[in-house]
Amino acid sequence: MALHLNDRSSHEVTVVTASGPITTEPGLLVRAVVQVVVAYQKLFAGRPSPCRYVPSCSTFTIESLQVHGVVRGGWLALRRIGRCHPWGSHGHDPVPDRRSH
Amino acid sequence: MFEGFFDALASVLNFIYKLVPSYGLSIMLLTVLVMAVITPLTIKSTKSMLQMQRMQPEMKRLQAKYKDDRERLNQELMAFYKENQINPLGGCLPVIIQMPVFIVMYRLLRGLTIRQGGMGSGAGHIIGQSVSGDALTPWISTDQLFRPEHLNPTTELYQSLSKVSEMKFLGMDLSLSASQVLKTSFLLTLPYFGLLLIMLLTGIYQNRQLQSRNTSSSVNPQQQMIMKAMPFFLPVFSFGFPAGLALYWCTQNFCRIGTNAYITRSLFKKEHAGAIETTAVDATPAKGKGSQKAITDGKSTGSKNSKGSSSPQRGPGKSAKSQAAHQKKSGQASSKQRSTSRSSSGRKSGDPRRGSGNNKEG
Repeated sequence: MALHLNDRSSHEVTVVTASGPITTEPGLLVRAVVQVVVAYQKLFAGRPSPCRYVPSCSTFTIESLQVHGVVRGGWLALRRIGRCHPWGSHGHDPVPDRRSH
Repeated sequence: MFEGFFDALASVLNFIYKLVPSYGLSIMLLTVLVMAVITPLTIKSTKSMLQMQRMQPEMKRLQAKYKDDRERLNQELMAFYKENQINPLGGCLPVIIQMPVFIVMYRLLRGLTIRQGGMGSGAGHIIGQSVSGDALTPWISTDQLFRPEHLNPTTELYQSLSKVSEMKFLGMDLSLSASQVLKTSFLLTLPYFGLLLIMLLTGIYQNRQLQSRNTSSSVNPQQQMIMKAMPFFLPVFSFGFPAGLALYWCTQNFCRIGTNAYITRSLFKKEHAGAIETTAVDATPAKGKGSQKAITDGKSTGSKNSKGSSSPQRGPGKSAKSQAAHQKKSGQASSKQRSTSRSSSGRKSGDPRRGSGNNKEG
């Protein structure tokens, strides 16, 4: 899944999923939460990431919020963080497609 | 749900108080104990974080290569993990859980400094005096005796606290905040300010320690601003918190400085060469900004080396001649490499494993 933040002025996000690109306009709440996560990423840039997964928890959160919205996206993000502990799995763990729920 | 946890922590505090009958020292020792439990975990997870970071460019390459074929990417990543025996020790959850240790200590210390009576006893005090016709004296909540929560009434700490109205330590009452004391006397507030100042200075120093490790070159002015402002937040907030909490925070800062120094010396110095190279590789696949970033990368590498704190270039390039020879060779090999000669020379000094990995790919 790839995100292209091509046009920031209109806040449109094109999400390329397995079923093809979907262009969505995330709501105000999604954008606000995404900004918080982006701020976290900027603040801790340059330090090694503690994350066990690809993409990392913060990137996963941003994507899942934009694909699934605050409620489901936030839930998916919380579950991902819950998985990201020393006894959890690791490796590639992408945001699920929108259709699959 | 968490009450049991607070009770357990309070009984540890009581145990320490039995050994060292001083409120302040007990809080400090409890902090050191908590940090002693956390530190091995921090060191372990930092080690594994650095290992992961070393593999990051390779993983990014795989991600870019198979970005349209998710299953293939998954397979390739799994194979890559297996091949390199990556078994991450840390995770985001432990890092996030560690953040509110402060809240636990806050709740604990708040609970310990709860006093007898409340609004009701204040009212009763006034009514009693007016009924009996005595001269009215104000009911001051901070003059009341403690009735600590989380502690069993039979414990020594409870017994001693329930007989006093102050938590004396180094001329301070640890149950009061600087702002509360400032209302009575400026002179009495001085030790409180001293504590906050120590907190600020240790915070700034800790921040510097972490920043000096920062191997990424993304010089984001916004980020730098926040990083500079961060150490000021807590001392400012602590102005309104009980001094016991500030004492806890100061002790923790000292512990963290020690841990950071150890981690920087034992783990990051070894990694430094590899890490710098990682950022250089990272920057290249970025779209338009790629070339710009690579240049700043080179610069940051240069400045870091010139500081001499951890010069990865100094080792391999013992004489200027040999380095010049290296560059000549690379120049002959391709003109492309010359443009990034700085980062490529950094690459040479990096760990040899990286190089072999590149060969495998090519």
